[in-house]
Amino acid sequence: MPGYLLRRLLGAIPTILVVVSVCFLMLQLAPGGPFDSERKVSPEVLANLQAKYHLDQPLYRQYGYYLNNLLHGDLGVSFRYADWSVNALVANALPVSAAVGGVAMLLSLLIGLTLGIVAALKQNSALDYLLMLLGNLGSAVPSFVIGPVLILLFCLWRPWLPYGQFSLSPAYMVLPVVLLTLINVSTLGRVMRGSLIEVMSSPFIRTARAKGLPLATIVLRHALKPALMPVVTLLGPLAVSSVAQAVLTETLFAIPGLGRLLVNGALNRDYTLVLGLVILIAIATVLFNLLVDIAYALLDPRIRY
Amino acid sequence: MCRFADSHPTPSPDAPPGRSPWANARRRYRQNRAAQLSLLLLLLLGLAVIVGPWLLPHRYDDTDWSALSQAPGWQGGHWFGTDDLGRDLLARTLIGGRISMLVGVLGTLIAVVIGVAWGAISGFAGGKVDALMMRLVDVMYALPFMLFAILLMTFFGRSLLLMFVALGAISWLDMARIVRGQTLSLKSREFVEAARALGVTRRALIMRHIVPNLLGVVAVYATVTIPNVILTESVLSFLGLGVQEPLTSWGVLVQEGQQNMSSAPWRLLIPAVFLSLTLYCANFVGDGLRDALDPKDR
Repeated sequence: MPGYLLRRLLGAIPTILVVVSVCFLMLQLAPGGPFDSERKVSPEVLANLQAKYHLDQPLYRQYGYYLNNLLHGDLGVSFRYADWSVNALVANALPVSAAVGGVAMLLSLLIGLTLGIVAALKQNSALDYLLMLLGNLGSAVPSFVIGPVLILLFCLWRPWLPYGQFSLSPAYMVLPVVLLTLINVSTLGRVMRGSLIEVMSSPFIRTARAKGLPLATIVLRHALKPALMPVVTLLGPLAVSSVAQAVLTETLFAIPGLGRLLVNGALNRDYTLVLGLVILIAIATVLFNLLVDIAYALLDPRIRY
Repeated sequence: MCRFADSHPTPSPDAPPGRSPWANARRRYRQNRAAQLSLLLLLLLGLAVIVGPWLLPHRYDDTDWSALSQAPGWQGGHWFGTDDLGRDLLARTLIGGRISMLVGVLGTLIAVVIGVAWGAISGFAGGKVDALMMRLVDVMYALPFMLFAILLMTFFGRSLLLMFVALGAISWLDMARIVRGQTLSLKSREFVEAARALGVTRRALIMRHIVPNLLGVVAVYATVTIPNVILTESVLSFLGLGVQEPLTSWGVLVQEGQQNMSSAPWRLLIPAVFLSLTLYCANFVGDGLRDALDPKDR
């Protein structure tokens, strides 16, 4: 196992390096510099600014500086937010994103898996149809439409929930969490349903039934673990897509999290901020996918590592 | 499934012996009411966004100063109301739909070209080349590609052309995987072996014998890709990184509607309904096609 872990970790390094390099090159190729603004800066000042940020150096030196700083955990300073380092901006935004996203993820897993199990055991029941309905809704109505409609319904027409300046209190978190949960529940539920139905029709479950075990025991003891495997594989893509969802949700509800920071940075052409965020998120998803693979290997005894 | 290319002239549907796979597929699709209805709706929507803007009394960028933020109704010919600049919402919705659908189709075309080339070469070459190419696809799967679309759009300006490229470039991964799988099974078939024995070059083998036999599968997955591309486009536009004023797309309209939804909810709801309806129907058509052409998946 330790050998496998080490191999996988080392395997992730080229991926991350490619991401960093592509981002860096892309930003270099982009037209316009960070100091091209409406107000002209005198050439001397511009030269000083560029020297300060090493922009007067050749490309490979800039790349070297950046990699070196990155290795020391320093993402550089923001080009737009005065007196802010990217690290500080991230440190402010990360807890907000983590709180909203974490609660939403827990809820979606809890509700989605339960719904999937019930739907699989009672096919064609009301809950089964609810799951199907949610799935259809989710595949057709984009989340950035569901979100505003939720706001329209629960903040404007029926002012039950606050809307506007976000703060980390339950009342403000309800709608974003509901939105993120709605999106994920149908996917998780449908995969869980399908895989449990398949497992429940396999011979070893028939044996368990023939022994006269109660249904609860059959499901919880025997069927659940193999049925969870496809769900575990789903977690990787789910994490990837939840990045896009976070960007949307945070823009929609004015949540000062990582996603909103990214969009604002992109709109302001804040080179270092966007670069830092993209790298951070990419590393996080690569590591998460790694964890999922390892969990898969641990859960499925047929997989050799 | 790979026998689609050798389709025969279609016999009448009630003659059981000697039905071609295409005829079978068509029959299965006809039995799928939801898919048929969706196809009809989708065609109507397509027709509306292509022809509609020419028939309307208002242009999409004309400002009607006598009707700012007017609610839907018959007044002044603004059936779907106007926005805060007095522009007709129906005209804007149709023009936006034109852009969204165009982006969906062109982005998918780009994805098809890259995906088919990548998958066919990878599957055909096999060995180390295959392993390397597919490893690259795996790596890209693990990255949130939305980020790169956002990066591309911001740093190279927000042009429509670039948007096609960005969307196509992030949508080809599934296509590549599917095409590779098909190529692997085609590669060992007799007709390919025969062609190889005749001394056909590798390039011609791929272009003449492998790719044409992939078309059925590719067509199906292309229809599934279109709504996804439309969705990604509208997300980008919604974030302000996509289509720019005065042109518009459904994502832009939803975003504008969301900004004004307390005073003018119709501006959110109308484009939202159009977008959702299109995605819904496109998904149904795609699923219907897949079921019709690939009954094994059921």
